[in-house]
Formats: sequence, C-alpha cells, structure tokens
Amino acid sequence: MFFELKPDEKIIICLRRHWFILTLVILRLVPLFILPAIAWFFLSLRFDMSALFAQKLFWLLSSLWWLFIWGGMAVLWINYYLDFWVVTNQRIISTSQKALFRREVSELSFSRVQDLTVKVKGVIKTFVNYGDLEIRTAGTFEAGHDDTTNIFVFQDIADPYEIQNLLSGIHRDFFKNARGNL
Amino acid sequence: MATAALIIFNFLITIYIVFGLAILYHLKKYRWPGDLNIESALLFIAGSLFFIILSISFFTSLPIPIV
Repeated sequence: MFFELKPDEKIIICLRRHWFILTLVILRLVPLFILPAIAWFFLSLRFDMSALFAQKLFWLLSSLWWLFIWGGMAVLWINYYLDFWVVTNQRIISTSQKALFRREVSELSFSRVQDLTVKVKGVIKTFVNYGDLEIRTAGTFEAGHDDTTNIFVFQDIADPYEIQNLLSGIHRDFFKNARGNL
Repeated sequence: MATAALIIFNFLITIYIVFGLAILYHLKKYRWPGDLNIESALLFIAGSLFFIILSISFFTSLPIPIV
C-alpha cells in the first residue's frame, strides 16, 4: 500500500467512480477504433487501393493507429482505476489520478467532517444510481476563495446515499470513541 | 526510402514502448491487495504485443526496395 495505517486504524471501504463512467469514456474511443475501416471506404472511392503497396501501407498505418488507441485506453483505465477513496475508521484518503503524470493524494480526519451532502443530478445518474458525495470540512476560509476549498468530493460514486449513511455511522462512532478515550 | 521508413517506424514504436512502460510503472507502484492491477497490466501487455507484432508484420511486408 502507498500509505501506512495508524495503530487501531482499519480500512472500512474503498470507493471508486461508478463503472458507468468508465463505460462512457471507453465508448468515446470506439469510433476511433473503427476509423480505419471508414477511411478505407472513402479512400477506395477516390484512389485505387488495389495496388499492393497502398494496401500494405494502409494496414501498417491502421495497426499503428490501433496501437496508440490501445495505449490511450490504458491511460483512461489508469485515470479511472487509480482514482479512489479509502475510508478507514479514523480518516478518509483520497487519491486522484488527474493524468498519467499528475496525481494528488489527500487525507481528511473524521474530526474535521462537518456535514455530508449527496448530489445526484440528471435522469441517467438517478436511474444508474451514482452521484457526488460532498464532505464539508471545518477549516479556515481564506479571503478571496470560494467555499469549495473546504469541500472534499467523492465524485460519481455508486450508491451515494448508502455511502452517506455509512460515513455518518463512522463519524458517530469516531466521536463516541474519542469521548470514551477522554 | 526504406531507411527513412525504418527510422520513422522505430521512432513511433520507441515512443509507444516508453509510454507503455510509464503505464506499467503506475500499475506496479500503486498496487493494492486484491486489485486488478496485475490483470490490467497483463491485458495491456498482451494487446500491445499483438498490435506491435501486427505493425511489424505489415512493415516488413511493405514492397519497398531495400537499396
């Protein structure tokens, strides 16, 4: 693991964005995969593609095209799969893979959690059951900044209402234990 | 002409391999017990090898005079 658990800390749940998000992203690449077939159709209308050199060159360029699309799909998978939130009984760890060489890891203790808001906007999100869970945190609001700097967002997670209830329970237990230790 | 084609082809394949190694590095570095990182890496390697071999076979079959 890339982070170490504290004593008495245990992982409760690991969350990722809903699989539907990955499907939408991958679906955008499908037209690019079939682009060589479309190009072949239009090229054969305009040029003589029966020559051996033209055919071989076309398939060479197509295979290189597919190779790079395959690489692009792998990057999209990494951006999806390495973007996750780990909820433990003491804190929330967020890892955000923005691009291949851009990664942000942040953590939030349950002692700073103030309120939880679920946002499910739109027909698709409602029926597929995914949405954003916003965690408003206690902290200094800086002048000139909007209040979004104090919001921790679980973006496009599955079953956001259940996760909200789960986090509420963990938050309650966290404070119960903290009071018990005093 | 054959030399120029070979240089361009090698350049593109080298870029892809560097890019692929970066992807595999990420999958190895951020492994998680019970995750799909190893399966993803194997699938990525298999697909990449398939398309690289396909490209090489089309490249070598190009009717370009070697001289």
